[in-house]
Amino acid sequence: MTISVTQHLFDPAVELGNFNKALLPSVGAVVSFVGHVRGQKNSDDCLILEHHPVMTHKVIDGFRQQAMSRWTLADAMIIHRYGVMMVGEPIVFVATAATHRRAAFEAADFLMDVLKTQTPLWKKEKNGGQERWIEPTQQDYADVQKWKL
Amino acid sequence: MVEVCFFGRLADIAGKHQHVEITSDIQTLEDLLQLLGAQNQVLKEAFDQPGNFLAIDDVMASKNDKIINARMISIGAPVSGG
Repeated sequence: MTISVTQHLFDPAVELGNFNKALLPSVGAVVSFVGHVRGQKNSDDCLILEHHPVMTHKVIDGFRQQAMSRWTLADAMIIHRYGVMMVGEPIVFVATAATHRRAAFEAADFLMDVLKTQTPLWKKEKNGGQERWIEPTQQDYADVQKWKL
Repeated sequence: MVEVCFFGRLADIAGKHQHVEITSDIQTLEDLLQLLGAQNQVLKEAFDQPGNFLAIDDVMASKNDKIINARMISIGAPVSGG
């Protein structure tokens, strides 16, 4: 499973284990990142992510292909959820594998930057009964500039 | 008629989707945004903000792109995943 856009809860440890199992020992570096819903434990707060039924997967696939060729990766895996996510649950998982660490780190960083600012997903936060849409910050846009897309 | 789908904050304003008749004076996405904005001031203000997401038939687009023969137009607030 290279890319998954899903509303289902997943276990990042299991996904990373499967990713490693398929690639080791032929690669020297695996980097992974997991984004979680933050907030107070046991609260009703949640994150609601809306996706585009066709384009979200397509755009993520395009960025994965860019990362694969730009950093000569052995593999890259992306899971992004949509729907309702409770505090503590994973939102996104990115894993990259390369011969050496620098390529794996940079590719994972690139993928997270483009997921944040260039991918058709819309994020709404429900906090203390209030809802608000979250849009990228100036820092997020500045971060993605460094990749010169 | 073209199906116009709204995403994110824009869907709160305009609803999830609308069917819009494309007359001969609606040539580009910009023309369509002006038409929709003329019907809804809040939507117009949202369209005036930078960074909105635009797509024609599931392909990223810009305001100057032609919408002749389009099946579906997607319009969303600035995207925010991760």
